[in-house]
Amino acid sequence: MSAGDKFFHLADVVTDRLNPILVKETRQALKSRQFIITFMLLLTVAWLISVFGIMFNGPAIEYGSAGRMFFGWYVGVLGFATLFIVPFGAFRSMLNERDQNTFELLSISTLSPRQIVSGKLLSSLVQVFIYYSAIAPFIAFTSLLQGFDLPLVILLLTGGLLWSVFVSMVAIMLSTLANSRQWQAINTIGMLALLLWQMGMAFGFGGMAIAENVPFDSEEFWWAISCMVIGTCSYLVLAQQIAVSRLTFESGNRSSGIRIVSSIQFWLVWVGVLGYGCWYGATSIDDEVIFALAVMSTIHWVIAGLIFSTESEDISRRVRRCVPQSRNRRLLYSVWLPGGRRGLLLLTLHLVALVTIARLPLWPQWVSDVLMPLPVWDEWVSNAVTAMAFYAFIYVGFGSAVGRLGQLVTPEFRPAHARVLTLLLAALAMIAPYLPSLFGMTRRFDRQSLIQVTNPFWTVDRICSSNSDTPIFIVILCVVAAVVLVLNLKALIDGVSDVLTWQSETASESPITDA
Amino acid sequence: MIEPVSSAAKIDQSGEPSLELRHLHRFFGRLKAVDDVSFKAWPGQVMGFIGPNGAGKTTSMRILATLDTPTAGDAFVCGYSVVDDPDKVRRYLGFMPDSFGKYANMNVVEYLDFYARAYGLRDAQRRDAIEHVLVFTELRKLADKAINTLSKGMSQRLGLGRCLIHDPQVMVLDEPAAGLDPRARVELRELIRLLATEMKKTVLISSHILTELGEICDSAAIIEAGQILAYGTVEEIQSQQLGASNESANSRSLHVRIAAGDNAQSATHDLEKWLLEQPMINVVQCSISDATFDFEGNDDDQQLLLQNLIEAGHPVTEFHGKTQSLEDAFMNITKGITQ
Repeated sequence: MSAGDKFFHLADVVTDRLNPILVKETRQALKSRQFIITFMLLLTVAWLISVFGIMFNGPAIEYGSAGRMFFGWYVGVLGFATLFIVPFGAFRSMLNERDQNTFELLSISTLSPRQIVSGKLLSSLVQVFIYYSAIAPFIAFTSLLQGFDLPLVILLLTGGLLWSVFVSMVAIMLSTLANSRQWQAINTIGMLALLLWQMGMAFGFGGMAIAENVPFDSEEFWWAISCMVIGTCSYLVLAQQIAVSRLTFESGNRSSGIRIVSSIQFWLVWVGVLGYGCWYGATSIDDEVIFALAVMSTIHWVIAGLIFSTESEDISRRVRRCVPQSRNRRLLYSVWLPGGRRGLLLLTLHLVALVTIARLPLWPQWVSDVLMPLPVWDEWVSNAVTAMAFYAFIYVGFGSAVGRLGQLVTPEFRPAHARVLTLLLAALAMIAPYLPSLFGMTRRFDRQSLIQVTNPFWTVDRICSSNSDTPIFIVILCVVAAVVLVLNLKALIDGVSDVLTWQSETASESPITDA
Repeated sequence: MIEPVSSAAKIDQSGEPSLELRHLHRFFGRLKAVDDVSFKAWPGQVMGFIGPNGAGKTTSMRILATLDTPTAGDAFVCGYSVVDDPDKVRRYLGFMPDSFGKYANMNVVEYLDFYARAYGLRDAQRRDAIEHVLVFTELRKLADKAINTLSKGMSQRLGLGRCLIHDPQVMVLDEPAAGLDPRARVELRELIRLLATEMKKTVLISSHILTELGEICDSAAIIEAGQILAYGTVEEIQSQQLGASNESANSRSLHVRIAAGDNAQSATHDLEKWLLEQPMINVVQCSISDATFDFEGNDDDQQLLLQNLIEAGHPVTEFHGKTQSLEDAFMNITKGITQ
């Protein structure tokens, strides 16, 4: 066997163990005109930057801090390829599978949706590595110049790599959302805008890091970086899970994965916050940071809860078969199973957890003495988070009830209708206080009136400024939430009791021997 | 459920069917695309799935291929439910849609290699599968050709090869001969025949070219407006329809051809006159040197009729019962209903 044959045999053996989509996509990408043009353009521009940079700097290149400037330009060129071209390629790649009727053939192969999504993502990563390797000699060149900062280079290149993978994953996820041509066209325009926006943001951050000294020796800096990395990774996993769910067979379980990832994200934040508070002392986190995290958590659960709580209640035999046999495990697992009623229960439990955490500082002192040190933040934070959680429950809970009613009236009433209706109801509730003055029924709009309590932004703003009406707001919201709970109580109970009563169904065994 | 016309068939139906549709329903709003469709197919059987456009063929096939889910009922491939076990069904089923996309920047071998990998074939198993498919579909010479540049016929061969790459037990082919020239059609027909006879695969095939289906299928299911109208072996459907078109059990349609000489017209006229004088003959249709008529009698009566015909001096060159083609059966069975 010649050396060439040995190489190809080895490559064959190695690629056998790789994701088939990765192998296919890499083969295609390396042959594609787009890749060749981008690659050549990247090299040409980097080469031109080197030549003209040296020409313009002249002898100053020996003693100035030209290294930083050259590095900034190279990273800019690399960023265009890895933050725009590669993610858009990943987006188009998935979209093309549907456009060119190749996705159906792919979906009836034995590849799982997760393998398809991972393959697409990995092929983006391979392309990013190729672009990195192409720019590597130029960055090596900057190391010979003054002003070269190795930690900064590592930070920007690693951060850029992670961000590129994240953006590619989001692009893949977005490409799975639209099925019809019209939506795909809108999706593509949105994707291009999103890519340009995030690239601008990334360039802004990168430029700032190059222009100013990065505080590598600051502990807070590393905490911030760690939080950003963990946050990005968690949303990368969520995006992957959504893409996988979109590609999952109709009778499969499209919901549990997203529910579990969403729950993990929530607990990651709050266990992290409480852990940080315990470690560094009760007053170590600013009230504003806690409030910002609570706002993000509420938004996260409003979006997730709206989707989960309006899901169809039809559970396929296939999903039922995967439910644990033990009653206790079923009970625990039930909120992560598909179905609108269990989705609402999952949302409710997380909102209860959020309120419980937000009100920890208000707990009696003996809890702190006996059980654990309680975090400390101002009362307005606790009240504002409580109000936000009530609003989330009221609007999503009401939408869920309307959705169930709609499905009783007509089977044509789909989850998407329920979601749109919920958003419209919420929007209507927010603008309702302004309507009397808009239609001339009152002379002047009273900005202090309690009628505005239907608007969460108004109420939370009042609570944040420690308004004396805060207890009234909380009581009103508590009463309305109780009404919404009563509206949904039977559904919440049925959602769990259904899971407990499902008959276990065994897999159909083939009379023909397995291949 | 419509039962097969007769249990007598060439295919061994004693074992488990490798393909079964059981009370399959698929509704799109108020449209009943598939309405209580049931049939079975066994290994080595080529079953034609025939129906006008919009009859529900493609919808049924897509459900079988796990690309769609039934509103009610179920379909089984090698015993696995398409609803409950789509992953397992995919291992045993090869599906060739009426039109399939091709990847850019890919040649024939790379295309097959990708699907071999996608079906979990590794190392030598993968290489052997590709080689086998290239030989079977006679695409060896085009192995390095870009798939986008293949002709329609070669593309269909490639599609068939892709279906075969994981050696499935059941193959579902939706209009595989559409758009092919006559030679490519004949070649594809031979390949499909080989799949059943030599590889013992179950083939469910839909096509509008019924004369060809009649030649390669051992059985057929005729569907219209989402419902199965007839199901059985091709001969059974044909004879059933022939029987149905005649009123009594002893009624049959016969065809006579006489030598076409200089006075063919007068000979045909004499033949028609003679036939109409016979007691057991009803409707007579004549063209030059041919006559087709309905005959009410058994085999002995038919033998006597032939004897009398020759003794009467008619220059008979052919005498046989009229056979009904699949096309005739299709036209008789279907009513042209569109949804």
